Amino acid sequence: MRVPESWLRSFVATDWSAQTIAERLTMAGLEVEESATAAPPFDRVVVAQVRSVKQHPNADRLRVCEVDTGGATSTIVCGAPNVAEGMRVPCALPGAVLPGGLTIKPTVMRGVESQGMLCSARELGLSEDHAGLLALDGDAPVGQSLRDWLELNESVWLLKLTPNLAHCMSMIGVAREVAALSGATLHEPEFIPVPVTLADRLPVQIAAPDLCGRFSGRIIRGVNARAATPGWMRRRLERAGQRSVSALVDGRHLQLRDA
Amino acid sequence: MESSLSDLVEQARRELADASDSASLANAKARFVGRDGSLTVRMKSLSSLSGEQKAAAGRELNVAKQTIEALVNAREAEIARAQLEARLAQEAIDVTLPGRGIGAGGLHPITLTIARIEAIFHSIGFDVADGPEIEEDFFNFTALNTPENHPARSMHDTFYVEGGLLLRTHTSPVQVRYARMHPPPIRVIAPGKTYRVDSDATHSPMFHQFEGLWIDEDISFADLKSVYSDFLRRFFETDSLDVRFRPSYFPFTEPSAEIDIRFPDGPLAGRWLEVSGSGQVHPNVVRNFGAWPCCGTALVTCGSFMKTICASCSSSTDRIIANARSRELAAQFRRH
Repeated sequence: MRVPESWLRSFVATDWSAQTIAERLTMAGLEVEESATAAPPFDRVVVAQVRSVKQHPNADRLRVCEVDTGGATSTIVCGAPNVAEGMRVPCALPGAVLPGGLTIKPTVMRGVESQGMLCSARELGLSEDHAGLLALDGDAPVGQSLRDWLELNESVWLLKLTPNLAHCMSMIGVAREVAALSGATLHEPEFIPVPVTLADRLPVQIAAPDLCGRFSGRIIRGVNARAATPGWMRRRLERAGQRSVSALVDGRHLQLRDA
Repeated sequence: MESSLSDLVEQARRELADASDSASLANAKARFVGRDGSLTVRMKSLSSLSGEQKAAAGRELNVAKQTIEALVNAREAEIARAQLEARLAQEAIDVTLPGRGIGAGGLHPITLTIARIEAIFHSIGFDVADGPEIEEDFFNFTALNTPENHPARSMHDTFYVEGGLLLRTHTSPVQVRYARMHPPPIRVIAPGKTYRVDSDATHSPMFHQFEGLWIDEDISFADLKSVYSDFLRRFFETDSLDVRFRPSYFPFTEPSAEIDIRFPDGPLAGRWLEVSGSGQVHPNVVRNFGAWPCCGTALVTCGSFMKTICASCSSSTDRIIANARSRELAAQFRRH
């Protein structure tokens, strides 16, 4: 069971540090087998917005971008295929040291000065995705440290649960333990019932009543199956070890892990 | 031509006699009967002669060739004999020397480790018990409160043998067998081989465990903790060992604890190493112990899985065996 710290803290308001939580969980019988941060160490990477994209005068595959890094505009040469005007992306400023030891310096690329680097997820050690720049949500605050915006300093714990601890196989289950251990308040997720507005029924026949004591369901119409999964939801799932599929599937996976 | 042919044979006789090893002999042979040897060249020139002369000259050349080849063979045999004699002289064995004797040998590190564990527990009044390695399902699982659907019972974890028997997956069945034969108070350890379907860099399908059982009145988890901590300090010969009891779960004990020790130094310094499981014997297991009443009795087992230590011991046996004395072993474990 993989537990991201921020997800756990959304249910229990403890002032314990991440290390204390891990130690106390282990000594309460929920062994923390592995503890890691959500991203490998790097610094001086901020949320940036691409203001303009122009073709590089001396290279077919490179583009010259004017990038707002929060109060300042930098010229950055970029080779990613998905770079587009207006998009918000991670930008490594001069002086940044990325995972793998790459140090960012102002440089001249084929006659055009570049004052930083726009990053893919792989360049930041966040995933293996290197198809293009890591696209951040439209509301990402330009200029903020990427580590703060994406909560990359949070811990992710791998719990090794013994067979008697099935009640801890969800975030709220672990949060209950933390609340009991620390005396902090537990915030149970609130489920606001949505009134039934459709009279439609799906005919269901239970073939094995001895195995299925109850079946319940609801028909929902007008669902946009193509809607994108919000960034926070995708991040929670990815840190919990669940790859994002689509908004509908992700929502279900989120509920499964919530409670 | 007549005279020069006999000269040639004489020359060959001298050069062959001068050849001292098989390489120089082969060179000498090539100078006469090789592809460009002087005799071969003469044989090639036969074709320029007429019929009568060709036959006569050919016969003479053949006689000369056979003579030289015979000389070569004779010299070859001489050289081979000389080499053999030289080798025999060189490798001569003095049969009058005394023999090398038989090494005293030594006990296997695992045997030494078990003896060491037994000695420590003997000194605080524990008996040593033994049980079958081919065990009944009842003693290995059922009597130990392991439910029918427990994953440990699956084919990937347990070796089953014909007739509903299995290779014991832990030494705990000895608890039940011993307790059925001995009324309390019980103080016993059971060391031995155990088997699980597991084989990779850190797991061996056969490994050793030892298990302790203490059943008496007025004992508690505190006794388990003190006996086991003391054992670890004596086994590793250090008073500065960090030991922690971490809550856990086993079907046959309640409450249960894993026992960890901390690496004092080395690349893993500061990290904990799980060495044992332990706990207070579950009431359901006590019921399977037999007829004796157990009211008001505190029950403690320290099922001490020497898995980690012994697995590392058996896999690096060759390395350890040279200095397999138990004090040195303890130092090995401390470093591990």
